[in-house]
Amino acid sequence: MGILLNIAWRNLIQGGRRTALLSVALTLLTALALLLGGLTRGVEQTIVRAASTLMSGHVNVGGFYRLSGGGALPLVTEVDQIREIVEAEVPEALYVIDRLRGFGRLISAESGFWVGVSGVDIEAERGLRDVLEVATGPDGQPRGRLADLAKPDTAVIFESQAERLAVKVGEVITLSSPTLKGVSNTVDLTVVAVCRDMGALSNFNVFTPKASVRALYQIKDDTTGAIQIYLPDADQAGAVLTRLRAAFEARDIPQLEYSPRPFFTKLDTVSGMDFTGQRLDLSTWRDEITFMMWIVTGLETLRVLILSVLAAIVIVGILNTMLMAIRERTREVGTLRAIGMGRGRVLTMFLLEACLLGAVASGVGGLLAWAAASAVNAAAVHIPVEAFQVVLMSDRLFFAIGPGDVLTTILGVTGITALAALHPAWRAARMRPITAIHHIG
Amino acid sequence: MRLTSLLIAGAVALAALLPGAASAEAPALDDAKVQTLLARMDARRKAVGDYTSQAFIEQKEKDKNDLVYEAMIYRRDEDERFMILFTQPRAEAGKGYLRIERNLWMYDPTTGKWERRTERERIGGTDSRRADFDPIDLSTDFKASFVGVDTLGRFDTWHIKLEAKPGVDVAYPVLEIWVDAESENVLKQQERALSGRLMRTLYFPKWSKVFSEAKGGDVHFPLEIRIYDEVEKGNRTTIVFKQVALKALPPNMFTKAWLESKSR
Repeated sequence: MGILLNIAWRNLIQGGRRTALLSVALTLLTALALLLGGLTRGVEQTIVRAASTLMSGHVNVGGFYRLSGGGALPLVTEVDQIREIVEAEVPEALYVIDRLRGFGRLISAESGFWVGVSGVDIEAERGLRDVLEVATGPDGQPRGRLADLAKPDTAVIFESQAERLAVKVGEVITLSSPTLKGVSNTVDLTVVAVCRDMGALSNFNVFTPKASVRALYQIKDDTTGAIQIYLPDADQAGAVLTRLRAAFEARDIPQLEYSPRPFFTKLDTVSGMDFTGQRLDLSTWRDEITFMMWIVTGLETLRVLILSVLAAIVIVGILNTMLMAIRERTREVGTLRAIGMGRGRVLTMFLLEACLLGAVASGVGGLLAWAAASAVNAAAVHIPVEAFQVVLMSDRLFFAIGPGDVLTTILGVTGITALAALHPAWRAARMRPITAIHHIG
Repeated sequence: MRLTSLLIAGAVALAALLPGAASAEAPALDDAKVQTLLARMDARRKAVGDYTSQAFIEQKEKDKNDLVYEAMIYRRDEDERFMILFTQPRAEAGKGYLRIERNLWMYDPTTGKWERRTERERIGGTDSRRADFDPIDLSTDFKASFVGVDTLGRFDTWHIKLEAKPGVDVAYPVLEIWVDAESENVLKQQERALSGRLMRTLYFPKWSKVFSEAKGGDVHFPLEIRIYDEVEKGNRTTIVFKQVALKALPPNMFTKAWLESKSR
């Protein structure tokens, strides 16, 4: 085998420009595959991390309250009792919070737009405090303090929102919405912090203290929007949801049938139902962000499409180059066969040549991609185009590439190279020594 | 024409900003007289029989293109039925609102579905509400108090504050109206949110009347309403009413089927 490897390596060196061109193609293919994969995984990680704190818990105990003959309101009443059951049934929870949910028009002297409103207790919101990053101003100073959200009638907004509203920290904005009974109402909120944008999520989220949302919607103290449970492992959300549903059922607490959709898409369905009073509605973080997963699916599809086309081009290139190389080396093959090299060893020799080429080139590509991704992540490269920020869910470029991804891609590209070389190698192995020695070409 | 309209609106708006600039000549009203006045105003606007008009709604929003809608308004005040059928622009034609048995429904011809809406619905996405097309009962739905005598331009007006009674379905729980002491028409109306924040100011620069045989008297209506958004400054809506008629409408008109048939 050592001799075969030696022959393969020397042949690659002798290949000169041909080997160099193939190596570059394979290096680029590997690097591109890794960077595109890293970008998709990066977006997925950002979405999951951001959405599961900004918009949802790992498991949510929400609900709908239906008035007689009227529409449904996304509320959970008697929150202390429900929360007690949740805490007893999910002892492994890292922490449990409750948030008020709303939808209103955020208005400044300059402009106004519709936003989703979250009424939070910032001191209890460990995950939110980790995810929200206070932006810095031109002077390098932070634009406010998240902790000030504990003060009454305050708001935390995102950079793009602050720009649209043309407001700074300390200025007052108005949140306008009908109360639960449909009467127009407003609350004036002082901006206490401006946070870095988090892609599309920044466009439709604003945070205020619970008391401000209660005042806006005229909600009682024992009522909330949803109880959010955070687990040590987000993948356990489905099992915890099943356990909680059984616990509520055992206590005869009415629930809606499980429907894996965001809560706001259920309003119309629930409005048409035939019940009055409270029905709990449980969901996982995956259910609440289904409407955003198209971004990951879209990027993944694009990645597969681009890589398939590139891989096809590279395969054809390798096939053609190997066929040419074998034609040029026909007399050499004939000589090797004449001095006793078997067909199997000829086949192995050419395949080893291809594998060696694939492994070295993809290894270089893998290392380059990993280095480039690490450098970009460390530099926190800002994305200047808003459309890209929306799709990538962040204002910074982020690649999630691990050692496992690098190894898998190198093995994959090497495998593709070997596969492309299989047919030429098989043709070389089938040559008759006498014909091959007399080949003139 | 456009410049003249703007000047009139500007003059009315300026006059509104300077209440009491001229001497007030109208007599002050006590609670009983205010209540009687409101009842009289309600009665003057009621058609008793059927009511038809054409409405042009112009929506101006800051940093957006102006929108103009044309719609037909149908009312049957006897049993509080009300209908709006949009006829222009083409994209909105066929959309309609129907109020029957105190429920407001919206029909969207693109989906062919009816949706129940609240009385506070923004009509066609503009800043106008159902109450702008179909007058609410000031005397029965609100508790009134006399604020004072003001002057709006050359008009002596009664300034009255109205607070919605509990359980009444209104968009704005507090109204302030300025009523022309001579014609008893509302010239200006301010609408406040529950928080007390001023949300909209409406001006009624032109009023007209049509004789109703069914009623045996005149039906008064504004020819034009100018609505100014007080929260998002720069947004305003103008509603112009034309071709007001009080002839009897077909009995089966205020139905979902009728509106759907017109939407096809």
